[in-house]
Amino acid sequence: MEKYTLQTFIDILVKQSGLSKKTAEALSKAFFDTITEGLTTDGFVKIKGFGTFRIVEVADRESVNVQNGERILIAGYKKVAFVPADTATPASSGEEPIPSVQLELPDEQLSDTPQDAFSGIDMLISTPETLEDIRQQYALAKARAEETLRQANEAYAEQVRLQRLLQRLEAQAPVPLTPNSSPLPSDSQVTETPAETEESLIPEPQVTEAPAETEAPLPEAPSPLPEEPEEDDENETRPMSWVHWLLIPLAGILLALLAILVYKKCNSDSSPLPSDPSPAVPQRKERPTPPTPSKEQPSDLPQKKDTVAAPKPSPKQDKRPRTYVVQPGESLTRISKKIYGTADSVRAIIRLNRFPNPDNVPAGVEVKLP
Amino acid sequence: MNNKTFIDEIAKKLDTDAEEAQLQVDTLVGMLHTLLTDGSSLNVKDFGTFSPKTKAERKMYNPSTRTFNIVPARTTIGFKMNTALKDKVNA
Repeated sequence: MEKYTLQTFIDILVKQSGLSKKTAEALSKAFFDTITEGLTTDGFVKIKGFGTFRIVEVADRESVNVQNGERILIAGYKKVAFVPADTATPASSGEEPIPSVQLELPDEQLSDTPQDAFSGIDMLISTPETLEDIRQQYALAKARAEETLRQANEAYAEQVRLQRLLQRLEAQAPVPLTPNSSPLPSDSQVTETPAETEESLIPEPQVTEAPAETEAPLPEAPSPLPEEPEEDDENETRPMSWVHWLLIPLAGILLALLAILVYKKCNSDSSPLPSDPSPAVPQRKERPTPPTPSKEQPSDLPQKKDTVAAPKPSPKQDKRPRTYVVQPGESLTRISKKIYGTADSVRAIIRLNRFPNPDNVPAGVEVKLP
Repeated sequence: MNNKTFIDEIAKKLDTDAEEAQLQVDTLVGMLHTLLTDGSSLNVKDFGTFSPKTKAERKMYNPSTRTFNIVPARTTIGFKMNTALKDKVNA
């Protein structure tokens, strides 16, 4: 690890090469001077067996003055770069590839996960030169495959055992609302009936038992693996039952609330009318155009029913027309603005009518108004 | 400046023929290479510094033969210019 100067370099050059000191000195001087000349004139100097000197432009660079923190610009410049000559690659020279090392991995690495096992293409780096090499590699690969198969069989046996245990327990439990064998969280399985879960479990062993015994389809054996969380779910079936008992009445209450809301909505549809609903009975009789006789009859019925059945036959109808004939050049927005004073009612109009194309309602069409 | 021109210039300076000049240049370059492989560096006044750069061993894939091979580790030449050379080039 020495640092040579040109002089010391010349000295060893003389010693090693047998050139006279004079020639060595002249040579070194000429060598580097010519390179400098070539760079200033041509911008590059290529020396066979050595490399290429080249002028490269370096861009301006923003930096910070460390003392006062202000931004400064470091000007760009030209620098001399050197690229050593490529030591001839065997491929380009037509020779054999570089003799590579045959790596022998320790046995622990054989029992990796399948993915790691296949990335062991590193192990097969070498071009097998002898029959022994091929035999060795085959033995390694076979050992790896057997290990993987053994693990897969173990996992499958475990899964079947747990499955059978689960089935037995389900048969015993009164309301076996057990989670399914899929790896979904238990919340989503609350609504499943016992019949469904048992049915889904039973066909599975039949399907997967057959291929698991053969050696070839390895990937199929680990496929029932996602059923392993059965064990955890099994333990949770007992404490889970009271939650189910709570959720059913809750659902019922929710439905009841929804029904009430819907009912109220229907009622409220007719309530924000200018006139109050109570005098609806006498006013309806005063209406000039009663829609049907059936609507006149329920005058004896309670008010609620009147307002529900009377979105159209309301006092409002006196002030607003029920239909409108579209004029040429008119759009629903324009109609809505004209009648309701705002374009927001367009949606209500569209909902009431059945337009093939609400964007273009032709002239002359009778549009029902809400 | 390609190799031919370079050698011609050297030959002119050394007052020899091109063949001789090429041989001498090869000697010099070889010497430099040996020096660097040993781990030493060379500082040439008003020019720059040559220092060794180690390249680690790496795997390479040959698609034609479809084999993986290892490219052995090697030492290459690194170069850093001096201020004098920088001024000459930027002048």
